[in-house]
Amino acid sequence: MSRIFPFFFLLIGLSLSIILCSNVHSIRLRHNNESMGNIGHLPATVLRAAALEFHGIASDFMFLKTITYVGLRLQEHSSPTKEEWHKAATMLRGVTDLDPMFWDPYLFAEVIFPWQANMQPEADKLLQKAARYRTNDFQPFYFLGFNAFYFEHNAAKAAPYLRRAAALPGAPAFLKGLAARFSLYGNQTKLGIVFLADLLKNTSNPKTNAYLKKRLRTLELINLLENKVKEFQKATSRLPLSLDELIKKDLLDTIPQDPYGGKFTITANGRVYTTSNMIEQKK
Amino acid sequence: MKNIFAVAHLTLKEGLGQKILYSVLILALMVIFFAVLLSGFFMRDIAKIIIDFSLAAVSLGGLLVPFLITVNLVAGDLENRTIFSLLAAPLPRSAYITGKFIGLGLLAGVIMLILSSAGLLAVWAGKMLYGVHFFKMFSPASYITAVFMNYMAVLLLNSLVILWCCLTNSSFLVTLLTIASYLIGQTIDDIVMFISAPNSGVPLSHSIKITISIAKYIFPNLAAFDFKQMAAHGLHIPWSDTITMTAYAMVYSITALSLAIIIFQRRDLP
Amino acid sequence: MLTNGDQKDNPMPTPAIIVFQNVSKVYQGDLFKKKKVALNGVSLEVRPGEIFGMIGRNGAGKSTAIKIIMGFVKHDSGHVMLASREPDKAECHKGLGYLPESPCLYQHLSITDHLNCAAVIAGIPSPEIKPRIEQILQRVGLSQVSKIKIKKFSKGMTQRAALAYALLHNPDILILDEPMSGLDPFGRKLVVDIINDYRAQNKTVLFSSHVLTDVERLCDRIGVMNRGRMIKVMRPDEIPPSTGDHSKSPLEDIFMKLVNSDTGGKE
Repeated sequence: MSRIFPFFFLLIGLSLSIILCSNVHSIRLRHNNESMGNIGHLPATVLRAAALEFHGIASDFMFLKTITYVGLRLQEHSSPTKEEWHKAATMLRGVTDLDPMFWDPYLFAEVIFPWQANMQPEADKLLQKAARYRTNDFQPFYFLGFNAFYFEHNAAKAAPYLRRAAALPGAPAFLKGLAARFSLYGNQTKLGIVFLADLLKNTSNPKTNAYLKKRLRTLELINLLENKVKEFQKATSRLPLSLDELIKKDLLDTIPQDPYGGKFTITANGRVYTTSNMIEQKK
Repeated sequence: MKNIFAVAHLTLKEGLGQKILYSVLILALMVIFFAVLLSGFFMRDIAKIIIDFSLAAVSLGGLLVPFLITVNLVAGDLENRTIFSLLAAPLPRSAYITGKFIGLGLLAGVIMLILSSAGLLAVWAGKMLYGVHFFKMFSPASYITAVFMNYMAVLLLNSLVILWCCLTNSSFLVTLLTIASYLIGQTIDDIVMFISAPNSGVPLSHSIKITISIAKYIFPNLAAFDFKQMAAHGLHIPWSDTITMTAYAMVYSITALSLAIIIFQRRDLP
Repeated sequence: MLTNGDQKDNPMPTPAIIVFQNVSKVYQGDLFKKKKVALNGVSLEVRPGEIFGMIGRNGAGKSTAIKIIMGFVKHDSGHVMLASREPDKAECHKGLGYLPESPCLYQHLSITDHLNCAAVIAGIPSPEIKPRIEQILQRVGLSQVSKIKIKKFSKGMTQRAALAYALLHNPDILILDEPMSGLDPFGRKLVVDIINDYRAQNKTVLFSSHVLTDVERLCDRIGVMNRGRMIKVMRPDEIPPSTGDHSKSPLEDIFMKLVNSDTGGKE
């Protein structure tokens, strides 16, 4: 009898552990929200002192926590709250305090904040920090220039950034002419396509890849529609009132589906946009 | 000299026999292996992730020596009275201390060499898995220099541990003093910078500021030996920095060991 | 300075190889321990070629005296010389073999590793090291376990290993602290044989022991210690014959009388 008891308790213990696993996980998720962001509020010196000689690995883990946090929030509801976005931004500040030369947090901020959270200034602040520390890297200035041009529609602000990027080693050849010849890329859509295509080439993470591909596809569709609008204007000397006119004029078979679940629409000045604003719509 | 190397050889062999060494080595190797897989979760800085983990594992492996093995082999010698057999021979106490330091230094070197080789293997594995273009910035020279600097820090810490062992018979106290030395060594620079900043926002009394300033000169600045981030980003580590830090480590170690010998020559063995 | 029992038979004594004159040692107490008087004006001399045995109760000061002779512990007052040198100088350990009380060796090494190190420190020429090690291991009966780690040794084997360590370089002076401790009868015979070999070679042995029968038959002189003092030094022929109680040896008898009278009959 005394030999059977340990096995009996083992079985009960294992079963209870499996049952309690998900409860424990939910408790952790609830409390996780509180701890996230608090670490980023610590002064840089304190963070660095606390990490002893392991700044690099501490920044790696902290960044992993950040992208997991953002990923979870995006899974739960496609529009995380402002507070949650700010927590993520605080975490990224902490990550870059630990390792100011760590590129991925800056890239993450650039890929997510302006597009998803409408937090281009936060992305810019981080990119300014990247430019201070990554002195031989063209990318911070490249993205700062892109943000100024694409989100702020401010070519005058973008040009100096892009000039500085062009002067740094490894800058793509097209950057050299870009600052001087904005009209070559007439509108922001083409610039966005070039930017995203370049990003995709150099990203290995599958989730990020999928995210960028979707965005790129949407911009390509917008670009296609804008080209069709130009053809319509050339043929009829006026802008179409809606995209359905393009179908009537046999320029399109059908209005493409917005990958984000919204609808493509045309503005009065012939620009195409999507009602989803490239944010995943709830079905 | 022969005496010193005989003691060093004995110490190295005894150190290699410690079981905890193999547990930590296996753990560190697992960390490095894990790094190759984990780096796939990141976006572009894959090389940085693998190198961060590898160098952290090398650091941990190196720190094993002062925290566990030196305490065992020096304070343990006194506690267990193994030292009597050695000192019964025509072996000066100074030769014993020096031999111990060299033997423990060699042991740390062996551990860190194994782990840094595993780290380089991880970089190669990363290149195979994720592509060479993610590793364009990797600099073997910076990686090796970072490991060497880490080794210098471990030697310096070892010399301090030997000093603590000469001051007290208790292994427990030696361990506490070692932890304190390591923590102070890693943080003293940051604390000094923080309190020196004009707007640090932290009100400190004059006496605390003086204490911290004095501590700056007494305790070694171990944080200065940390070149891991530069290696992780493939940045060149200037030769002048390497030479200066090596000289600092040697000078500090010799000072600590000299003090240890002076104390040890005058103390009663238990 | 000569001690009791010497002056009448040795009008021209040879200079002592171990000199211990009026030595005192007090272990200072701390928060948890009281001050302890380990030695109080102890004097003894060991001449070359002499076998000197020290006996006494636990805590009498035998080991402390030996540690002071070895230079491991500093005396507070008095005069100590070992082979005409201050005992804390490493040179005076040349030609000296020492077996500590309850010896401890490095657990992850074999006896061969230990002896290799000892041979280098003792200055044995390289070509002679291997044959010397084999010879000494044969002598102490550890040839079969020369490569086995010390942690697998029994207490008796560790004692023999430490003895091999002490004898490797064929020292002229042998200092043994409780050499019989942990040894079986074969081991004890080994120690007795070694001491007799030393006597035959006219070499010096100083040892402490609780095995009074061995002390009685091996030593040229015996020192009795009690409470940090040398209360009597005598030769074996000075020991009175047994009172008839066959359960005690004559030395045991006189030892207990001496200790009792020294402590005021309270034992």
